[in-house]
Amino acid sequence: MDKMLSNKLVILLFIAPALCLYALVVPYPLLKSIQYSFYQWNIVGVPKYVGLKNYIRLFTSDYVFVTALKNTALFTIGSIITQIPLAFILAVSLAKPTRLNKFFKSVYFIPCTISGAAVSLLWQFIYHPNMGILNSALNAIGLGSWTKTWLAEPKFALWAVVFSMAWQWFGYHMVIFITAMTSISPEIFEAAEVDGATGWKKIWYISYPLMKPFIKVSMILITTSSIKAFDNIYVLTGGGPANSSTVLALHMYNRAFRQLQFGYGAAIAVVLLVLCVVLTISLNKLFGTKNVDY
Amino acid sequence: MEIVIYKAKKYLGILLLMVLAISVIYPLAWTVVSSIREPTDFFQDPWGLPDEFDFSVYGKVWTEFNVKYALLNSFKLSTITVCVSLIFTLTASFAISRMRWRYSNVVLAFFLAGLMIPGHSTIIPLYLSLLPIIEVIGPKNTLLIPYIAGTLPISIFIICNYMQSIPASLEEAAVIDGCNVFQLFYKIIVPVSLPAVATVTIFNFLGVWNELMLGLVFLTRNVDQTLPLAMLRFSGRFGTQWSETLATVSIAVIPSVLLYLLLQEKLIKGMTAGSVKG
Repeated sequence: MDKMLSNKLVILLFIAPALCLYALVVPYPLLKSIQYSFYQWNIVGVPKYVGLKNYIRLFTSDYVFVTALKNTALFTIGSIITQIPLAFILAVSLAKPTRLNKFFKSVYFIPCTISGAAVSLLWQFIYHPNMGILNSALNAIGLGSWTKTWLAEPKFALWAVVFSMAWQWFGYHMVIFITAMTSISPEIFEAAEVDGATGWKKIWYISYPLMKPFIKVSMILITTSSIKAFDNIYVLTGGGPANSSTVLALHMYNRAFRQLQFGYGAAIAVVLLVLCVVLTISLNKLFGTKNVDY
Repeated sequence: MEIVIYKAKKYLGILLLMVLAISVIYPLAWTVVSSIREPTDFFQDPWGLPDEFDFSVYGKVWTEFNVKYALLNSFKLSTITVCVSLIFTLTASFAISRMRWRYSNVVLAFFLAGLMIPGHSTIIPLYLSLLPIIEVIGPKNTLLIPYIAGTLPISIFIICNYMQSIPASLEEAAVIDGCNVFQLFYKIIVPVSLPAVATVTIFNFLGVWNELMLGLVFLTRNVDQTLPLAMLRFSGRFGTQWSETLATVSIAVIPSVLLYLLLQEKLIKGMTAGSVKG
């Protein structure tokens, strides 16, 4: 049997299709992106080697890029604030697998299964200045002066997207936290109760430390997906008004596929990748890898 | 007294959870209901209840705006991606997790590194190098290449994990009964792995069903486009045709929600696999 399972030819036959396809479509273009980022390349004409010029231009004279970078940071922070505390509270409340709790859990997860494009179109209507439910509701409760053309105001457009993303994804992080909660042995809680711990104390001293690794995972997921955010912004605001809600992925898309500046677009893609990797590593460091064990 | 406070707190909690649940369900139900309202009635009171139903807008988007092609394209791309990806994933995972060779862990790590790589940082060279292929086999078929490749890291992660948990005794019994390595693969290991296969299948199906960015780059012609692209057809510089948009959104959203309701546990497992275990 050992001989049968170490037959080199069979192994090659089994692994080669997946390995070749993956290597050619994921790691190889990644290296190509890095290479392209040193070239000035529009679709007509020959690529011209320009060294670090694309990167220098990005950081010194491309104000849209700087805005996108700043917006990506705001987007990340906004998403963390709107999603993680809510998801945590819900997970704590819904941890017991009763029927009602399961029902709520299922409902909250529904938006995660829908495309970002669909969710954004839906929210476009919610934010609609005349017909949207947000302004209608504000009018109805007598706050008519608060009504806005939400997506057309530079101050609100980005936050409007953050909010719609929170609506879509809070259930996802809730599920991660519920999985974490169910992995905590009930004996720990019982012991704590004997020691006199009550509701909030239990959450703060037991649930929170034990769930920290999962909160870390959620933070990393929100951070990387904010850096990659494209669908919702593309559909909801298109980066506007006047680039006030643009983000890195959208800027890359516009430069590469609208203006056909492939080298410049590749430089943005490389910045995006570096940010993803660096922030993942730093968040991992920040939270520590040491897991609490009771 | 304490009991009263406890009960009040409990019901207040349930009330808040209910409000949140309604805020999730209501906009979705509203989308579907609004799409079958008479347009003038809809614009008079968009958030109200309908007086009568009118399906005419579906006929319009279906034929005039080619949404039928979008549905078909989405279905085809998702199905083919899922099937081909499964073949690749199952064979590769079998080789990595059940066969014995020196570099199996290195290869696994190489695949898992793909979980860290954002699709955005590969899309430009990918598009440029696939341009000649588009001319030969068409944009839809070409798009299958990045779609299938993109599913491999997470699928191999889930399936490998599962296959590693299959006890060796099962393998030994099969070999004693005279299975060769191929029979061992498709008669024993693959059937035993079906729960993980189901997880990967539904997860990948929805992944392609909902994908936007690659579609935007590759599918420029109206008849080639998928549902997430078709939804955007009705918004332009001069506003949005809402009835048409909502109808197309419903056509895209109803299957994904149904799939979720039918195979909830599997889908949740697939979507959170990378985070909870990783």
